[in-house]
Amino acid sequence: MSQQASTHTEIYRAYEGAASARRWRCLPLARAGLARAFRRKLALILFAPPLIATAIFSFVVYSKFALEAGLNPTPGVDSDARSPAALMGTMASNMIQVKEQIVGFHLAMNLFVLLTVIWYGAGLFADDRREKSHLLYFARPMSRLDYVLGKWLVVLAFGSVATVVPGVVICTVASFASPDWSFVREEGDVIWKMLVFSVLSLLTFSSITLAVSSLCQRKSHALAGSLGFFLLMQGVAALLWSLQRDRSWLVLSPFGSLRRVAAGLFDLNRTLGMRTDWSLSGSWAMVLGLILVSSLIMFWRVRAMEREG
Amino acid sequence: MSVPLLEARGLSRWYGPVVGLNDLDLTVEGGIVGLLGPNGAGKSTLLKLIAGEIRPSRGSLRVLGHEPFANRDYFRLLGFSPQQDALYDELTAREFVEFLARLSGLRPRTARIEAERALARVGMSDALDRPTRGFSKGMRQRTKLAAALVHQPRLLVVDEPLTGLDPLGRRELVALIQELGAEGVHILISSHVLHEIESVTENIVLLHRSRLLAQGRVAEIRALLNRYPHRYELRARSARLLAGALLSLPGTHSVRVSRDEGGLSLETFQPAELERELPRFLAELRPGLESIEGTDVGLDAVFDYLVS
Amino acid sequence: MNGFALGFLLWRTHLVRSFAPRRIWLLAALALVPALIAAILSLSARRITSPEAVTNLAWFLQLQLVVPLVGLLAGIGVLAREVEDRTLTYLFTRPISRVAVFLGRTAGAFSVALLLNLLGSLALLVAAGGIRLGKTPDPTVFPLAVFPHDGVSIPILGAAVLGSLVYTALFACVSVFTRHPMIVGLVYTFAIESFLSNLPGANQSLTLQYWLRSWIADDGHPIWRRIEGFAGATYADGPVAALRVLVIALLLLGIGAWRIRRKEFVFTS
Repeated sequence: MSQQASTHTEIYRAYEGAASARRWRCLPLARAGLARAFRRKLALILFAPPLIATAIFSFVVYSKFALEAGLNPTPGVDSDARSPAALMGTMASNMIQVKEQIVGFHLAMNLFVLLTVIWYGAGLFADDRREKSHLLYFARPMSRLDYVLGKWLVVLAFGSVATVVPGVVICTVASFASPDWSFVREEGDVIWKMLVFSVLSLLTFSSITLAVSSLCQRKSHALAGSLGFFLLMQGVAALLWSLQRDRSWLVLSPFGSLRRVAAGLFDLNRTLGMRTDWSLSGSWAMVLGLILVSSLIMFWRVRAMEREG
Repeated sequence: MSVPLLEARGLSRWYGPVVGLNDLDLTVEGGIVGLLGPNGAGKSTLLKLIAGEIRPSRGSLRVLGHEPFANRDYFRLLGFSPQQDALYDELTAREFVEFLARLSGLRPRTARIEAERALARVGMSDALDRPTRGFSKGMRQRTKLAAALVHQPRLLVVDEPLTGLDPLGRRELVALIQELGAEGVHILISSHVLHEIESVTENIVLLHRSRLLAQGRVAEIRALLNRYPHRYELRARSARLLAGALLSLPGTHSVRVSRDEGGLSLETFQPAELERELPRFLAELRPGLESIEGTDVGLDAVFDYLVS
Repeated sequence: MNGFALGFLLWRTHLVRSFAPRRIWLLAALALVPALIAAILSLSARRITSPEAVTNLAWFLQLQLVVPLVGLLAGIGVLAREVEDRTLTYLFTRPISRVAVFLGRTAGAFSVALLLNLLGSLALLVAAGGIRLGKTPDPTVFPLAVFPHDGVSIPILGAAVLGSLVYTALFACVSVFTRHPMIVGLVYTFAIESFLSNLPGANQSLTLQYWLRSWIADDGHPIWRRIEGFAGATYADGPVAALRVLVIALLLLGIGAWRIRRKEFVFTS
């Protein structure tokens, strides 16, 4: 008995378009990841400290320029350079450096940025492995790079709210508060250095977190592993420094290396009151090495996930 | 008077704003009972209450005369095979079932023997010493069932037991359940796939939107649904002749003859009348009846009528 | 089945399940980090004495990082993993006491934590004992030679035992109360305890770290007093501290056992 063919045109309509060869398949994945992460509103409390710190540091930067402007508050009128306003302006000009404020902000907020990155990033690969939902992605025309980037963009998006955006805000305040855009004209390099450093610290934190996540099958383990890694490295570095009386050991800690990189980028001898005189090349090597090794681990694990059933 | 298998009075359970079960009054005497309902009907909630994992928010539940929650005496009588696939990945099937057998009070040697026996009964003899980590869905299902049977419970509660089994495995499991039922074990099977339950038992409890919709034998439930006429499909050489006779029956709602003139679709509100008169029509008219089939006495139809 | 047999069965099964997966090697690596640092120090240019190395590593790294982390990972394994995997159903639908399940598995978790922390502590003592001042190994800290009267080994090993017990009990108890024991544990260990234990005055006694430090500080080698931050602090007597830790651990176990009797674990599909 032959089977009678049938169509169901009342339900389906024939597709008449052409499937687009999307190159950036990571973007829909990232969008979905962001939407999913946003469902948990309580975690947004992690952004409170950077928000408050942004306000404080922006105010300090604004005050610097406002106090400096107090040197000559009314143009055309003779002013006494020794007046209190003038003195305060001179002090502000000498003591408050915008680049120091930016570096100070980033170093002070490092821990909160790390917590934000770890919170939003720890489960990205671990949950997929646990729920085997990576199989859904790998059954699509999606490359490994798309998959990794799709996850990475999620954590970069959240992390940038805690680091890049505040840096931009502080620079914007400085730009507008400085008389005749003097900040942009005279210290404009601070802006791109701020962006470089923000992105670098974000890449460091996120790559390590995602590497740990790709090694775990539970978000809780990835959380503990990521946080444990940073705390352990910081503890070991600080201890070795203390025992050996040699600051070179601080290179071992991602926080320490980033601090040194910041000092090198912004040409500072001290950051947050601490002399930063250990190896700059060693610090760069540590930071870039961590990013590279973490990325390799991620891709290696994603390759293994493709084979997992 | 024997204790009923299950007795629920005003049984309700909610999870915050979500109602899992709503004011359930239910008595189940025993045997093999199918617990049916679409997703979200409250089956899982009722099973969790029966398995003693959670307490009622209101009302009461007694199973085999016991209140289930954290009741060790009750757990001696209960064998529970949950829906989730997870087993102890680090253990082999034998170790896993043996461990649970020991927890059920069996001595070490007895636990070992019974574990092997239970696994053999569910068709897992070949995979006794394999770690459960590498098990397929069907193998996990069988292992769970073995763990539930190992201590020879009086009540076996299985949640979606046929999920993941191939057709042969399903047949074997259905046979096993019927065997256990014949041995006197009470069995409560939950499923949302109606034909699975139909192959196992006629006794059902039907839940819908957290409430009890129907309970009893499928045919009896169907008989209660007066507002839906019973449907029959007949095939006869002289279908028109038979149609004319059937129209004369008092309960007949409609008769339709098929295009090929060999088939009849009959709807009647009085199936008993049809059963009584049809032999007379056949003897008098000789329409050459070839087949007669009730098309809405199955569980699918009953369910559709109940929820629509 | 009697209580002891049940407890033993649960303990043994928990041990088998804890040691089977690969993550136990990661935990072992974590426990050996202080020893690894000691080995690095022994190769470094600056001369550092064995007592100085071992006391600082034990105080800052072993006690404040490794022991709590190992205890956390072991403690939450009592229930949290089974709740996440939904395999807790198998245990809670058997005719056994829930309290026995909790205590048996906690005993298993404690055994894991104890083994790892003792391993780490012994490795630290051995590695640090290899640190030379000049060409002669410092005999003050070489555990197999001077154990147990050197005032360094016993405090460290004792702290490992006490820390394993109390942190495992704490996080096992936490895992009964919350579905997110890892987050609670991390916040407690690295935020609350770090904050409180560095405050002056009686606030420190609110932390487990204080009592573990008191155990070490009481009757140790004078080298302990040279640790940064040690000098200004007031610590309790060693035996009192040990007793306090034991009582706290028992209390936590009691609270966990009490709660688990009537706790509902709702597994969402």
